[in-house]
Amino acid sequence: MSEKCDRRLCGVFAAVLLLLAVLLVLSVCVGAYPLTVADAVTALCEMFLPRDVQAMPTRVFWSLRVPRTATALLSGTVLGLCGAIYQLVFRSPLASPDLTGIASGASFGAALAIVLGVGSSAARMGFAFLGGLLSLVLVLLLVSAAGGERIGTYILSGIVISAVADAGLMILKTLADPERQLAAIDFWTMGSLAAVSAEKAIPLFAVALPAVILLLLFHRPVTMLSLGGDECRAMGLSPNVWRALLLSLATLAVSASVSVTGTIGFVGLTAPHIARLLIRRRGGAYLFLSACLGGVILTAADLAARTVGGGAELPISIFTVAAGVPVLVVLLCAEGRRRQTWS
Amino acid sequence: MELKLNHVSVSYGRRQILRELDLTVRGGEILAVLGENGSGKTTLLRAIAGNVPLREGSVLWDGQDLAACGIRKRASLVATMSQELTAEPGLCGMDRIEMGFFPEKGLFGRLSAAEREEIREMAHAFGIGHLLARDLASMSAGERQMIFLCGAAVRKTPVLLLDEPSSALDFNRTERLFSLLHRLAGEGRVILTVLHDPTLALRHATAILPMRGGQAERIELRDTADERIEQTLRTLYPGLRIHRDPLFCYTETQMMK
Repeated sequence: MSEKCDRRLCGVFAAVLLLLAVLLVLSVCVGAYPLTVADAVTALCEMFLPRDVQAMPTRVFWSLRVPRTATALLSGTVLGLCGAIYQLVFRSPLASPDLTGIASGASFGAALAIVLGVGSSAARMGFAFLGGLLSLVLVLLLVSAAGGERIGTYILSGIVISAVADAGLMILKTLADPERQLAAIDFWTMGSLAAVSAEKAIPLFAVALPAVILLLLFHRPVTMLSLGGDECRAMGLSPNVWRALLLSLATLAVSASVSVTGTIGFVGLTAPHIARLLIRRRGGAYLFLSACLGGVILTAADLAARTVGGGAELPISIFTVAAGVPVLVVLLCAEGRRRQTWS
Repeated sequence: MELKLNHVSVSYGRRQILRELDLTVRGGEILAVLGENGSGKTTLLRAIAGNVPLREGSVLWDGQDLAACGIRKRASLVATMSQELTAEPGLCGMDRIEMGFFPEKGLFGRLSAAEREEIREMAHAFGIGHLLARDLASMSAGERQMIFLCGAAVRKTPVLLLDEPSSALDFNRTERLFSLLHRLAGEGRVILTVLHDPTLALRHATAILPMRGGQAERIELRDTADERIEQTLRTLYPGLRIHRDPLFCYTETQMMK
């Protein structure tokens, strides 16, 4: 890599990490009960005090803001990283975590829990998680039955399973009690971090964080898979084994994330494209930057979702699209101009 | 050091592509695989590389059965250059060469400073030093081939398989490619290359392997009379003639024009 590329890479990472740090501080401080930076520092110092002697700002900090901010950061990281992995492994710029039907499967699972009257949020999470995993298993079975490792087979299988899950969701909506259950299903499918608590965030971290670390460590096979099956084999990497392993890990992380936050669109598609246009490189740096940008987009969107509507929480997907699309359009136009200049 | 194929047969479904093929190629030799489209040339390379299962027979390197080797061990012995090397944006020449070291370095190993220096020196010797920092997507097919060969040269892969390496190259690049192949063969490597141009095969190869219906018999170019070579090649290219000074092949139809 040339020195110019090195400098560019360092500059981009510094800017993104600084932006992320600012957003994290804002996310912790801004809300219906505003906290100052001094409150946050005090809360950090009072971390190990018994809850009943903690001041109100400390309780708000630890019971509401930290779980919510950490969940936004990790879920965004998962969506951004897994989006990049899907795009490289499927060798398609259109690929995203929705592609393999995981988001639809998880939505179906959560809606089923609501219709069955499952009250506990942990049980709903479990249903959503199982729905996402079931989708992946069905996609892999379909790919295996189609007898191929072709990328198109994966994408087509994902579309099929996604359509089946969406149809199931529609059936559940017609069966749901319109007074209570239908609204709950709609709210869940729109995605929100309003109901996040430490109890919900801990299982998410237990599942998604190790998966994210492993996926970042496996950046070499991810990049090699982007060259296609034959070149992978020629370089000594088994494409079938690694594709299945990486997709399973990514699905595990996405299912865990979707089971807590609901369906959040566009982050998995946008973050990798912005990362690619910013550094124009593949490999570990690209995956890490996609993950960071996913965290930036979701943290910013969550911040907007709870502040723009006054007292009301707005669906987070409105802001993930609002944050991602303009940046992506500007970068794509800049990329187009750059190509024209070259040619 | 030799690559040996014993009674190798390969089928795609019911269609048999290679039929009990026997072949030996020794270190330092360039074997040109010739034949019509669909005669089994690419399948032969894929069988040696382990990309298709053998219905029967075995592929041995220095007496060692390649089918019994793991995929990484096999990749450290056999480097395969496909017809169209992927031109993914975001990877520079050095990245591509570094990825080729996967059999030796595994998931987490990194190239040492000495290995990087060796790559730079080899790239300069190949005349492609400037390509190491260039994006693969902005390179021509020929430049990507040079990057691949440079990587294989540094890794000292003993067997090189090339599928129609000159198909996208102009005259100068074709000449440069073959001068590199001679250099690599001179270091004791086995080189098998699929070619469509019999003139290139006669100019550069040690032996030819004319394939027809999944079968073939190796013909030495140095010890075989032109008439015999001509006769064999006519089974693939009807009406072909060999002209030795300067060497080129032509067909009777071309002659009439």
